[in-house]
Amino acid sequence: MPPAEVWLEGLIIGSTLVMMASGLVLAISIMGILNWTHGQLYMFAGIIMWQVLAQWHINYFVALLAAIGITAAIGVAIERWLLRPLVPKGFIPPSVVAIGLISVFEGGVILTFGVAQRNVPSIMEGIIRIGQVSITAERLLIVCIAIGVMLGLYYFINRTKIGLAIRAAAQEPTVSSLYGVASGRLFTIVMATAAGLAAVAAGLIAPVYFVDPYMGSRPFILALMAVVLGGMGSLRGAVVGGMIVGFITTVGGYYIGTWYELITLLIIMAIILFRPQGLFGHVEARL
Amino acid sequence: MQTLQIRYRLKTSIPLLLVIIFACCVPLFTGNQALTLIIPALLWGVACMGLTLIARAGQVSMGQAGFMAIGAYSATLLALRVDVPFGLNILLGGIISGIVAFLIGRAVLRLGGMYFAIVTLAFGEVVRVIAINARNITNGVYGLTVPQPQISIGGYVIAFAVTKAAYYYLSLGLVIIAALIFWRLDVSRLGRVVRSISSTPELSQHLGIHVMKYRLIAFTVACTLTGVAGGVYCHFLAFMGPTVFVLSHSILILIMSAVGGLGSAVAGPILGAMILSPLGDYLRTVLVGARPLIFGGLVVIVMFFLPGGLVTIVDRIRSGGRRGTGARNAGLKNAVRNLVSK
Repeated sequence: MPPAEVWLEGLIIGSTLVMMASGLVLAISIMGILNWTHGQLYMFAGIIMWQVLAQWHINYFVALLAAIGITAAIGVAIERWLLRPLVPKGFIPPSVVAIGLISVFEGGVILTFGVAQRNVPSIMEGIIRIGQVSITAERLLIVCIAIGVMLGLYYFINRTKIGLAIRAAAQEPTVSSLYGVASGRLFTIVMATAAGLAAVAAGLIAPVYFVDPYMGSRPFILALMAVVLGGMGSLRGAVVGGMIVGFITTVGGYYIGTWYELITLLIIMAIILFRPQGLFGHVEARL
Repeated sequence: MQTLQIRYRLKTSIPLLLVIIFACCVPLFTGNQALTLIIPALLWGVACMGLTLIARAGQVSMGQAGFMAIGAYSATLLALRVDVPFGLNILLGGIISGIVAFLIGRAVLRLGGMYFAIVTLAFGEVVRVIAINARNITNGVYGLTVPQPQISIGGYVIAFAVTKAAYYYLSLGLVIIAALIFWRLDVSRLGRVVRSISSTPELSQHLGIHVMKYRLIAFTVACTLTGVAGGVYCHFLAFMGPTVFVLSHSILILIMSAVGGLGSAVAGPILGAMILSPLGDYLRTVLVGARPLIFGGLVVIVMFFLPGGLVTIVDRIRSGGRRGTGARNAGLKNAVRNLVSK
């Protein structure tokens, strides 16, 4: 049985993966596109956190809000002007553009901030003891924020009018537009939500780890794995898949070292082979 | 009619012959330094042709560097451990890469689209993780030193370690053979079927085309030649490690192909690789980060304003600046025509 710290680590990584994966799932089920730049949006948010916290020494929550706002704006801009015009042309053009944008963002950040790994100052000091287990207050706060954000997302999707529109558009795009759901505006809202979730994930992880221009690709790949595991287009699947991948990377890493990456990837390949709809999804990419 | 055909053939083949003759003469008037820029460009060109064939079948592969790595590791290990002679080991490396591609393709090409892109992405990562962690086979992050071959032809010894020109001719030969194979595939029934699958999968399936079979053939052939290119590349570097072919190289291959033009099977990807690979090597020495920024920007601009890639510039000039040449015409009408003329 690995120590409680490992499980807590799994919870933190798992919840950030849940946020990343939910954003990907929203984009897949509403716009029908795989947002390849998702990891770079995450990286952007991390860099903004560093800029605001370490350079300008402003409050953590201000930094988080700034990261969310800027990243959401960038995400919306990408979707509105670079991906949406190409979506009718099939799968390849938007994918190629999005993959090109990965390079643009990484190159741009390298040019302006350099390739160095940077530390983001921690949110708070202090250690909390619960019985035998001692955890840093910072990590506990991160877990609480993560759970709060996920509950918020649940409320947004399931209890609000916009959430209803999102679910309707995912299930029946044509019918929902007949009933007055403006798909363009919905795309913007969905993309802002997805990018904002990526920003929250980066904002929570940044004080614990470090930020650099290449930090986006690994969480992106892991989040993709979570999406496949849970089922493409299933939000519930993204939550469960994200948690499973999070625990495999930490608890699995505790037992078998670096080979855990292989285990994750092989599980994903097996899932695609034998159950392409994942744990909760349908074969068609629908929410 | 026949004279017209002959004249047409001459018109297309004479410039091609001139290009090949010119390419053969390149080492005569360039130094080793220029060749170290041109050789990778040629090898990326082979990988780009492979990716273009897959893209013309309507799929995006994010793991082409993984197949290069498989070919390269197989060639190196065969040469180091089993003493397979030079040339044969590269060929075998390509075949192993092709077998892996066949197995993956058999499993995932049925789903295609996003699933295929994700699985190829995961595959590239699997190769990297195995290369790093299987230390007793691949020597982990320290990598393997690739033995440099020596060939004697009629008493004249060519040492690949000394003369870069030997690698140049090897790569050039590979590009020509690969170009012939990809061109033949593209104009054959397979090429037409593959394009019709990409533009209208439902219609082609409805007309009784085994979509899966043709996608699988395209993917396997493409990855075999990509593996061969990887094998030559690691011999050229004299080193093979987990960092030689990574995800960013897969992205690079995709960018080169798209900038050159996914609309043509051979000319586009070769053009893209020949322009971007040396440019990238130059930019990397000038300013870190300039290469991804410029390449990414270039591919976005090309996809928006020149969807057929840089090769279509010539067509567009010839047609007096009218839009709609190249790949964009491959709509429903073309698909039907392709199918009817099979």
